[in-house]
Amino acid sequence: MAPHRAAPHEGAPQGDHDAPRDGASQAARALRERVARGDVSAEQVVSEALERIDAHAELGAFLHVARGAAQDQARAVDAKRRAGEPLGALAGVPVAVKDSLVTRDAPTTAGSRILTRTGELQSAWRPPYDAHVVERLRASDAILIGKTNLDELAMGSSSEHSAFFPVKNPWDLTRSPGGSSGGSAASVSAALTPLSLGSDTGGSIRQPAAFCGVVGLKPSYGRVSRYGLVAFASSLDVVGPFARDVRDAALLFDVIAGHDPRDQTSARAPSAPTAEALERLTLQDLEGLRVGLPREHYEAELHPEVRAALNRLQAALTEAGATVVETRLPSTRYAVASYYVIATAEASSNLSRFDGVRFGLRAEPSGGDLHALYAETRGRGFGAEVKRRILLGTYALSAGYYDAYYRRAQAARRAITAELEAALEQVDVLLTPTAPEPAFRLGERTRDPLAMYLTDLLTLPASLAGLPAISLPCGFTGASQEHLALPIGCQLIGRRLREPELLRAARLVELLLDLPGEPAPALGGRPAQQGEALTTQPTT
Amino acid sequence: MSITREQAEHVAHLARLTLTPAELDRLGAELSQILEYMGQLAELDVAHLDAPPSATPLDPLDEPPRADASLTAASGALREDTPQPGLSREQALAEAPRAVSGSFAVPRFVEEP
Repeated sequence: MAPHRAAPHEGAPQGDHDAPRDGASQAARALRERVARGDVSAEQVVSEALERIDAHAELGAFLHVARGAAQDQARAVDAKRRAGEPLGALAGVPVAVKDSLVTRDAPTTAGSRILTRTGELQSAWRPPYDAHVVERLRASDAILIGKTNLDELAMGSSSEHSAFFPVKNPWDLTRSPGGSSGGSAASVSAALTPLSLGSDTGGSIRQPAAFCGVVGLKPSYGRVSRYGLVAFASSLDVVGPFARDVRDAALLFDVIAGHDPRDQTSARAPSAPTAEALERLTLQDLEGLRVGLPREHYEAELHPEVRAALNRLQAALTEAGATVVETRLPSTRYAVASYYVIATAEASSNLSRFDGVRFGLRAEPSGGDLHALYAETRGRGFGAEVKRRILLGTYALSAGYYDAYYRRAQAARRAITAELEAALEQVDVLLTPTAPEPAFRLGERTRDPLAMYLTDLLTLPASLAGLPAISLPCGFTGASQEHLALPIGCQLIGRRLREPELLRAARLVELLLDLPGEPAPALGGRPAQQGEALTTQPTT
Repeated sequence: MSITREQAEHVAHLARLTLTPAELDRLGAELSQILEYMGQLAELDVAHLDAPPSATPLDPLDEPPRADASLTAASGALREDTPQPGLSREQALAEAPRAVSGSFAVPRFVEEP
């Protein structure tokens, strides 16, 4: 029998032959406690996580696995424990890090050939410093187990634009895990690691979280330092956590949040701890929670099972004593246009640093001048999606078009921000689907860039407004002959810098839904077979 | 909004991107399609915007100003301009594709007089 074929919402137990063990199956907070008590060594946890990463290499989740360094860190944590020294908040917990975050002396490509010496992954750039969030991970005794795959330079919604290989969805290997943080989402979804870090510019944490059935938090803009994040669009980029439940996401958020003077836009207000308060919540706390439903988000073309899952959640919230009301965000109809002008304009400027001079790839035509060095290096080093965005951004900023595009996009951004903030004066959180549909098939969207952009419409408004937003699982599609059971995500949007309130609401929704939360099947290393999806009955 | 081949070449030049003829054709066509969608921004009334807004205003992100003035004052966006150690020359050059006598090497770009 194949117990892991059971549809997750049937509540079937996980099959044992492929069951993740200590390094992966446990929630990060439980794992940390076991390591701290000495019930399991960090070294053992890391060995098991590495085994599992190797066993699921076909997911394409990792670009680099830090075998030796991770084992060294684990031994250091074990030594600390034996010496009776205090252990950090993530002691012994393996964390995967999106490869657009720089890691000192360790390979970093951001999924692009331009950050390699020869164009091959093996010749990756080795940065001379750690990103702020990586420093925070090290200080918390977390184990940096590897760097995850992504759309090149974080530009994409499917993780198919990685220059090296695509990421596959652990729920169905023929589908995309979403993007751009697809590797980080897949790593947590398939229980390769309990936690991972991603970055979100227009939905790059939330949409892959929804596609992979995990929790993904985009903090408020400025809440987490961007120092050491390879820049895409600096007014939108945010680093945030993936986890298999809300409390673990809060645990990792608490480690990375806070002021950093090296990021000029880093918020100076201290970050209040979020994780501990979540432990005490019960369903009774839903009483009086005010939930807004932006009408425009529900008027979008939604997959019927996504719509049904959200309808069920709304009914359950009302039943549990929450107040659910409709809100209006009319300017969000400009969100896609506004975002893709602003983000590409900023990208066209940020990406000028890739010039073939200081690091990474260099293509030098013989007898060529400096312009030829730049243009050849960039022409060879960037993939199609990055070139498309650089051209779009350069065009939008060029003489004669600035007023028509960039200036108007900024006006739309202001209007969207004002409407979201006004709505959040009336309600505590806004509830929307995270994505209009469950995970789409690999290759289904790459031929039509605009269609791919339009799938971001539900995550873009919170990005443009700099508001915190979280995606968490809210159900599954039924399995059919057409497809396996696929996760559906809902998005909660909260008030600026009020992550404690947002995580509280997310935890309450999680309590209310009470989904099993087991890892994705990842199909034991086999590609999905047609017809397997029919096996949805729980088996022993 | 339709992008001509010449416009595509001009933008690629501005962006310092060498593109093959096939790339120019394909990217130009895709850009036209995307810009047509962006055209909806023309509906927006921008008359009330007297100055181009900054993408990242210097200090919009903290808690709104409070009565407690000292807290607001402490949230200046610029840090003190004091020297701090940076990368050593060796570190900075470690990943350079070409370095010559302690410097990044680039093609000659100043003409002899």
